[in-house]
Amino acid sequence: MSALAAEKLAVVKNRLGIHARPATLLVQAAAKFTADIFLSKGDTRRINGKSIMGVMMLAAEHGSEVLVEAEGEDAVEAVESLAAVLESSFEEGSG
Amino acid sequence: MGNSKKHERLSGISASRGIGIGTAFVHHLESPPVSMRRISAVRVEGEVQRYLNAVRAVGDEIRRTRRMVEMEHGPDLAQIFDAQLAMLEDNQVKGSTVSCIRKRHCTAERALTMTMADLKTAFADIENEYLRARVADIMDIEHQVLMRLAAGELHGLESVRSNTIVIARDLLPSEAILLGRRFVKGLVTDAGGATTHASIIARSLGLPTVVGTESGSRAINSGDLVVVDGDAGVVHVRPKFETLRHYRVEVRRHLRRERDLLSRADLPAVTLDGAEVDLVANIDLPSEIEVALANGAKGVGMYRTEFLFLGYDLPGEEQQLASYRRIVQEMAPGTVVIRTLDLGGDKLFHAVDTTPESNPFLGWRGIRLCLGRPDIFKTQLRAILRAATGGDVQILLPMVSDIDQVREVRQILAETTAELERAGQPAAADCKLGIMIEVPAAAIMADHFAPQVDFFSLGTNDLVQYTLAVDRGTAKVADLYDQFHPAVLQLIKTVADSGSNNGIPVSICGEMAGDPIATPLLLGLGLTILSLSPGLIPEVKEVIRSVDMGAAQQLARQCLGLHSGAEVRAALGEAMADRQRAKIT
Repeated sequence: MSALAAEKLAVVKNRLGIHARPATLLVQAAAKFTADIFLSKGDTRRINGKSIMGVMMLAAEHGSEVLVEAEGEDAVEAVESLAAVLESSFEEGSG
Repeated sequence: MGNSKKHERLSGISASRGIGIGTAFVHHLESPPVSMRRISAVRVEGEVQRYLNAVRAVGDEIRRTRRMVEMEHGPDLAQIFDAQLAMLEDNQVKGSTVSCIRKRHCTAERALTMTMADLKTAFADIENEYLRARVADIMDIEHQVLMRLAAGELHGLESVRSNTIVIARDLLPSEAILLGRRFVKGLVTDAGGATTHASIIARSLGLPTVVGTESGSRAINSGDLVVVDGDAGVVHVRPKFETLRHYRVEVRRHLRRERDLLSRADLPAVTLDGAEVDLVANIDLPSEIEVALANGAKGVGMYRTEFLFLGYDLPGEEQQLASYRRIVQEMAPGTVVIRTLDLGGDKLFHAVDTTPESNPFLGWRGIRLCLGRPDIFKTQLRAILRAATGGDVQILLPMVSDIDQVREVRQILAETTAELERAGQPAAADCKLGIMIEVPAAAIMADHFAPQVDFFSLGTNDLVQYTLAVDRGTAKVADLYDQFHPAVLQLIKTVADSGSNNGIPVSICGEMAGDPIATPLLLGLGLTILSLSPGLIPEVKEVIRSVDMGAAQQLARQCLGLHSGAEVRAALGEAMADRQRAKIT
């Protein structure tokens, strides 16, 4: 299979933004894919979606738009999955 | 080291009662020095391996702790370790540390501190206050790896085989869990505060603890003999023979008495003339229910929910629900009174925008904070109302000083109930709602509050400090803090009378409720629901069973007429001696 590229724009729904716990979940989700995953917000530098330090430094607050990009065999699935995590509220069903 | 033979007495704040004697294990938070030397080319790959091994070992350690915490305290608390693990094992951090070792031929320690320094700088620039505060986590991880690289002493605690007193400047949550080990007999910290992780865990373990000693970790050397007197808030370092003998006798007496009292834990709490008293427990953690039941608690008089809020993130509804549900189910059919969040904004810095206050005890905390952050408050109320389907649950509001606060809460409660109903979520519709009486205004206005609420709970610790204008954490004025001050007794009487005139129950949940010398006085003032630390229940019950209600009322009348706390104390001591004489004859 040839490498694919995909991208998707997601809006952060969690009230407190992407802080430590959502960032952990995001990185855990990213680790499931072989594709390279990058996140960026506005005109900031792209960060590695598999690094929690990077994700936290993105400082994505409630309502901000995050661009998810992926390159690799499972790029399409990766982009969908990460966008879904970014858009979830993290409040329900966590226990 | 030269004067290490001299005995010393340190005073601090009692965070958990009891007496512990053992050898000091001084836990240093300071990281070991980082070597700046260059390493030879042939040793580079070995150095990389040494770094990766240390990361793996710390990761294993965190996972072990996580499993232990999950078993003992449930998944909500365990979750705080996930973010730590992700940061520790971050590929970017590992990658840049490894490439630093390879390119610059520096030690693993040096490479790691350089990587982390860059991260700390980057985080300090983030505008979001919560994320900026994560610098503390980065430092924690850096510290753990450095300690491991130095084959650090952090792990020495696991191998102790004789009675040990842990001495630390402060403890991280991951470290506080180690206190549950068998040979740990006490804890002494420099930092203060009864609502820190370490204090709460120590209390739930029944571990004698003195906090706020300020200089403990410097004054005590590993290997010193130490006595922790958690009752008096005092630590004896390298004690004199007589002191040690006194405490050894005390420990044996404590143990004997404890066994003796526990054997009678099932006896009813009734006075000689047949008046029934409700003895219920103050708890911080679901895991304390077992101890509470073993000590004969009939319910939970105050479940402090702060522990849930001391982690990295605000606890979600489901997380809170799991803790509340466990307590309600294990305590059923007994009543569980859940006190809503009683923290100042400073303790929630990670999730709440706060400005430093010059006087936090008079600041934005308790119900004031909850009403200012209805999102946090509603999440907690939803969890409580849902847990309440499983048993008798009552809601208790802290720091109430104004009648409008109660009205506002009623409205929020009604909204929350309606929302749960719309969502088809099973929830209790009519939990009883009570308020803490801990601000003098609420005590004085008790008659005005009574028609608005279902019960009162006297929080005497704060009531004493607000009434007497004394912060007992301040050593120079601490002796002015006196729960028996007649002004305090008059306020208690006002509240007790107001409760009985308006037909609502009044309980007391401050430390006074667990002080056996105060028991007859409280009964005499009209309080028949005492909420106290589980471990103190048997002793207070013993007093109740030896008291005559008529005599208690007379004693209360006498005390109300006295002029000072010292006079009241003397009268109570005399009454106790009388009862003991009566018992013997």
